Amino acid sequence: MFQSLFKDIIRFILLILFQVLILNNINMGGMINPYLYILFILLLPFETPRWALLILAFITGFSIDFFSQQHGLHTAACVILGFLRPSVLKIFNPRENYEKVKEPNLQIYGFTWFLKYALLCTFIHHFSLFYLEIFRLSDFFITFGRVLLSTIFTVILIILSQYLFYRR
Amino acid sequence: MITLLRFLLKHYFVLLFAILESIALMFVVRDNPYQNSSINNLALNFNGFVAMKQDNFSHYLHLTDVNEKLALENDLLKNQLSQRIMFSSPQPSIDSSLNRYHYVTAKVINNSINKSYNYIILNKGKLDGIEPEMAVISSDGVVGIVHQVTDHFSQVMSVLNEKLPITCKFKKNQYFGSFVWSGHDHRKGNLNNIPLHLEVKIGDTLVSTGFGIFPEGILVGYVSKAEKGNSNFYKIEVELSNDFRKLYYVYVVKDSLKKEEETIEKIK
Repeated sequence: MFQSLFKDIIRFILLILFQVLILNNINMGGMINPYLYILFILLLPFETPRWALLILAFITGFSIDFFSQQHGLHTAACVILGFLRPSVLKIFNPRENYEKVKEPNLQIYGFTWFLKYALLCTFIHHFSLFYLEIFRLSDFFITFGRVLLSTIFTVILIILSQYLFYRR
Repeated sequence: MITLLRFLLKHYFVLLFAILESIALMFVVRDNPYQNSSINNLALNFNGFVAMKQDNFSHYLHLTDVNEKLALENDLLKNQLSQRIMFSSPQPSIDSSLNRYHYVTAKVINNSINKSYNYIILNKGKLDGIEPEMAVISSDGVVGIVHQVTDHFSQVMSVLNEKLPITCKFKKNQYFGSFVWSGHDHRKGNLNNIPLHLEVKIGDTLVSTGFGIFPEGILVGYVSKAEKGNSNFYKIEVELSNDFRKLYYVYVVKDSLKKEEETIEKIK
């Protein structure tokens, strides 16, 4: 039990550092902004109680916000993701019960399932993030384009990271 | 009670989400200028609209008061005018600061006197030429400084606001100090930084210095209590000349030389 907690903490720190030090400086054409740190929320165990999910999402977003000039944006987007993650899992649920596996894992559940899960969660997060950032409805389609492109790029990164770290 | 607790426990997830998201959104709106001004704009427009509708109903109740004040002011202005005409030279010197101040009359549609930070809402806004940081006065004295403006409404930081210190001086000599509202009584405030070696009597008139935003000579109030404070300064209590409970019409002061004054102040 403590081993998985330790793993989670390490994953948290690594993802935040990677995001802040490397990914935050990648800005391709102004439209593509990858946010890999949400992988932490995506990979939390299925059995995480819902209140813990929300609080962990809050802490994740808040930590990223520390390093950005816009306070609160990532916190708000992550909390929305944390709130909707159980619903997303229920949508993609093959049966009523997930097997006793700890985490949503590429190996166990298959590529398609994980892709769908990652895509929807990332889309929700990026949608809230970019629209909160721009805070108006006038540039709706440009922002929507940004949401889509960044989602695709983040999901590519997520899948890559899964292959890199879970080859067994 | 038990049913309420049970209800809360059943839906704790949504409630916790609402709480956390509100905290996050509070950070977003408070610390980001664009989002902040968006929300402030929205709030001021809504507030102003509701206050205006409310005022349309209730302003009849104050008509006698307003009329008396206006009559008094007219009297004063007419006297000043006749004096000026009497003493004006046949060829007045062209002084560039003559036409410095212009006044925009505005009506108070929302006011408060019982909070720590009181604000006043006026029914004139950007489209009438009002900008933030303009002085607001009335026939009885200082009122405040414009804080935020939308197209049709302005929000004025009232003198009854602990964030707004006003530099004022004694009318009889030119010694000046800083007036800050005390936070409790809407008629009284405190005057600081007056050293003990000056002569201060009850009833002394305080006016604005003209160094800051307010034009010179605007009434601030009268000294109501003057005691020796602990350090080398007086502890002076000032009674405001303006009764903020009965504030109906104000003048927003447009200073045409303000930008110039600011640029020269920046040269050090």
